[in-house]
Amino acid sequence: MIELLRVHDLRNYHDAEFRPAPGITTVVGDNGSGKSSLLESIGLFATLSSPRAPSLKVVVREGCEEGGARLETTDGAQLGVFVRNGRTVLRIGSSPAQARDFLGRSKCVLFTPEDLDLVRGEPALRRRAIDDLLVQLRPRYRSMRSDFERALRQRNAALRDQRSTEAALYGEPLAIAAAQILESRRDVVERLGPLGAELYTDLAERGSLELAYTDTSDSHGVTGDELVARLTGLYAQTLHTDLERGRTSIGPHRDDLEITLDGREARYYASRGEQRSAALAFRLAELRLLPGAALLLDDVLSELDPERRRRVFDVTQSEQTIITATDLDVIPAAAKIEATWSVVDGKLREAS
Amino acid sequence: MPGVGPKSAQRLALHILRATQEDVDRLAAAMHEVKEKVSFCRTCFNLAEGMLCPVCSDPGRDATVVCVVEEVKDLAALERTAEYKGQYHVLGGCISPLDGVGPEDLRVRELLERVGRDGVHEVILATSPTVEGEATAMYVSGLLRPLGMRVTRIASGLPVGGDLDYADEVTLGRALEGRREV
Repeated sequence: MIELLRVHDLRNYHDAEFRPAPGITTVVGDNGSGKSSLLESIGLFATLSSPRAPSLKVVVREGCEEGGARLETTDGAQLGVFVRNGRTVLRIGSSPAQARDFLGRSKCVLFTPEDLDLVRGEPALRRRAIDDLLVQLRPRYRSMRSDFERALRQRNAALRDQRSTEAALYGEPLAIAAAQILESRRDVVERLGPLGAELYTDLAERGSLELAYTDTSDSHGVTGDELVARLTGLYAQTLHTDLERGRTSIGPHRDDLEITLDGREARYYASRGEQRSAALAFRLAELRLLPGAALLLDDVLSELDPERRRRVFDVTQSEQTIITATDLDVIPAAAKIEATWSVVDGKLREAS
Repeated sequence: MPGVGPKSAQRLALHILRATQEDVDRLAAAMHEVKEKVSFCRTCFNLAEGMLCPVCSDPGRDATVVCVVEEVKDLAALERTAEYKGQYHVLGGCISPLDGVGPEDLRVRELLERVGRDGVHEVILATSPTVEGEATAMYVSGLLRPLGMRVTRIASGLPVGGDLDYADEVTLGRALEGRREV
């Protein structure tokens, strides 16, 4: 759990301190005051990435060379994430740390207004949601993914330049890396499925929610060396058509998460309200897989109707939860709030 | 200059301005001498003063075993171990379409000619355990295996003197994969 967060030259913060309660903490402020940035900075510790920016360069306060945050957990770990000239520098205690040792020490699930599009938005959003979860579950996943991206970029570069020898050569390294990503994602979606279904029902929705990983290589049930061999074969088979297209057509970079309600694709058939509940159920299911993770709700309560808001609190009551809002009115009266903070123009203050 | 940023470059320039004329002359002469005397070994493409490098011209080294590395610096690292008694072959990089480097840009042809000519029994592939290093090792082994010699890949695993519980998952996973009978 988070004991203390100090933010230095990040977004619109110069030097701020935040001490969330063990239960529910609310952070109230106007739009643009720094609410999302506060949650973003907590998210940095969990995934080393920002949900709002492709590169961490942009999170540093304008005009500053370096920005970052320090976080102390209730079990005494002291973590630091700093971005200096576009490079990320990590610390555990006072020593520099590697990402693989750092990840998994401060976990969180962040739910933002953009997540309301999780069901009907681009497949990339859903792949990212799965990857962000895996990075926290398995520290090794991050390096697996960068190996995969590297191999994919190499094969694509060869395809673009019409160099068939090199493109064929990178088929096997790509298959090895893709197999690891595929197995990890399939496994985690399998675990998320039943939890998501249960939470969707808890959120008072009718109908049954199902999550399934749709795999462009169609390797359902194939694992281990067999999967590597299958993918290697597929990359050899598709070499010709991929050379024409100039890119790799099969692999985890093209896969998706299929979300269905009563067997029908939720992105086409579900109502807006049902889609929001499905997205919320997905995020809350992640929370069940990450014991001790904080739940960060970034200004999403105003997007839900009062009944669904109340249900959110019913299912998340025991976790460390940080909720941002422009107005306390959106928080149900029954919710047990342990601390209230306000933020004005990058200045944080606990309300007494 | 690789590895030298604007700040380091400035520091080096100021250092040269402050140095005595004699030191600067010695530096210039040393640079001149390197360019004039040091070239690449004709057999393995290690650095050499003359036709052959110190490894290839050493009669005590086993010429039937050849260790393939990406760069001269990798060869130097292996030499520091003083464990290896065979010879080397420096490829001059790894196959990387992103950088426009293909097999024809590496000294692969020279390797094939050499192992055919010199009666090599074993080729050890010691390219880096990166995506590019593995791809290059696969490529080279694909060409060597039909020639009927032993082709091996160096193991990756745990650092000596380290505690198991401090090892990262990737390294530990690979060490498990590469376990052996005792």
